Amino acid sequence: MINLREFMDERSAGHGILADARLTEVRHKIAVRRRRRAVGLTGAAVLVTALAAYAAVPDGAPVRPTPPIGYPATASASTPVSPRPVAGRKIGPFDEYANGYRVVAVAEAPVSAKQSRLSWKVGAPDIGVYTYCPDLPGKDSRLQIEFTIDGAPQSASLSCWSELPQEAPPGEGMRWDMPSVGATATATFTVAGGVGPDTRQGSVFVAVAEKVPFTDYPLPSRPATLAPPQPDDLAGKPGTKLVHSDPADPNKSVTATLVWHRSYDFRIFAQTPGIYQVSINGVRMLTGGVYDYSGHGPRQRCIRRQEDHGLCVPPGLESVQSGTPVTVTVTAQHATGPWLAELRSASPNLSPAN
Amino acid sequence: MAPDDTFAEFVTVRSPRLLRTAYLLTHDWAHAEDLLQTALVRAWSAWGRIDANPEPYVRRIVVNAYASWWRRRWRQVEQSTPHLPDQITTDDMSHVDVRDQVWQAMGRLPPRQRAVLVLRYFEDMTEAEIAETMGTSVGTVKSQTAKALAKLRLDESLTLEGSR
Repeated sequence: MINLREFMDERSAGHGILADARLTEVRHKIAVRRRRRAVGLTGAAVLVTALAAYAAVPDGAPVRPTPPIGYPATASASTPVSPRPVAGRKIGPFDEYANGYRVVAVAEAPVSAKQSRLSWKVGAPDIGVYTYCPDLPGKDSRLQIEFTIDGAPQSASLSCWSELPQEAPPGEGMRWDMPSVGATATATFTVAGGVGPDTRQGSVFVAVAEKVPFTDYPLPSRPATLAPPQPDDLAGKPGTKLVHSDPADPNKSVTATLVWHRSYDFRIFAQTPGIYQVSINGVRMLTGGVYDYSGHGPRQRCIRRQEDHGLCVPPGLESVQSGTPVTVTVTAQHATGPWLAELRSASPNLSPAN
Repeated sequence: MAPDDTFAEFVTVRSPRLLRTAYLLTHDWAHAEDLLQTALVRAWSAWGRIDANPEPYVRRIVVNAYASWWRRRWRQVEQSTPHLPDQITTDDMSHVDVRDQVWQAMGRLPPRQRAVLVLRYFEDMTEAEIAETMGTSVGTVKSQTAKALAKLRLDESLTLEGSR
């Protein structure tokens, strides 16, 4: 017999960093947030920086990954990464290109080694990290992996599964404590624990991927015909507005008016690759890339209670009161076919937005 | 006491407990730490406007952040499957396995159902308090709790002492 209350108490006991260390980290993040607001660091500026950074390293050639500590380099770890797109190429077990990112360094180590390390020449500040543990005994087993970059602990940790998803790398959109572009970075991965039976055997694959400028990304072949974008269940909810691309020009911005309720759910369904954005009164709410013809797209939502003032409200919209009409602008770049946007601003306790 | 001082005191004194809540939600210590720190950073922006005990406010941020964007952000490592343990046995020899099975089954619950269980059994909150925290109705809390327990198939293997 298990007492659920005792069970949760037992499971959650005795872990975590010291509260003082947490306070230091939180204060650091608050300071970073203040600085970002102070300098008006917008997503556009970040994108420009990323593009400029990439241009500064035109070939993007990565440094050959170093072998795991105490272990020789494996075939996958020693495979040089192609500086040019090669369709279908894999770097170790990972697709070289996936969802806007390119794998630039891979390492493999036995789980028993506890640690592996790889280095790469930083070509872009926006990175993602993949992990893959193919030898774990089941779908529910996983390893917890912590990592540092040049010795600096990263705030996120990774869970390594026996499946190899690359739909989006862990850490996409996060800020990493990274060296500058052009420098050689070294990431050290440490197995911090395992969940499930028999997680002490097999191999751990780790990879670092860098965001690729859209125009440099190798897109798949365009299908002969494109189906109309298909909405999902959000389209049928009261208050949701559907916005379609201009049939004559899918890159033409389209606007709609919503009543703002300080919560939102934005979803884009794009039939062609491109960079898609949603803004409210000029404040960017969602930016995401589409790199295939699957009909999917980026989405962003934040649902709060009405009393939770400001939790879903980005800088620039604090003064917009709930119930106020706002202008929503959907923008596409590089799109070559139709797209559909579902726009909703409402919270569970509120009446429909429109 | 200045807001910065009260904030520091809160983080020092109360955050360990909130971390445990975050861990029960995320099932990952690092994710829990990230979730908690994110919530604390957000809470700081409203700290001067919080008149009463800030803990329910911060907990609400933790729970709602987890239920909304946390799962999307970490979808690659939060993969759920529709499969549940076929059977939970209760003999002494399998005691550890049973607890692991329960833990894994909890990890497969949808975020809001997991949150309801954590708030009810770990935080010892009433259904009304859970509804307030999650921004939903008491009826929804009841139904989510029932669904969560049904999915866990705990009805016969757990003693839900103190349940209301």
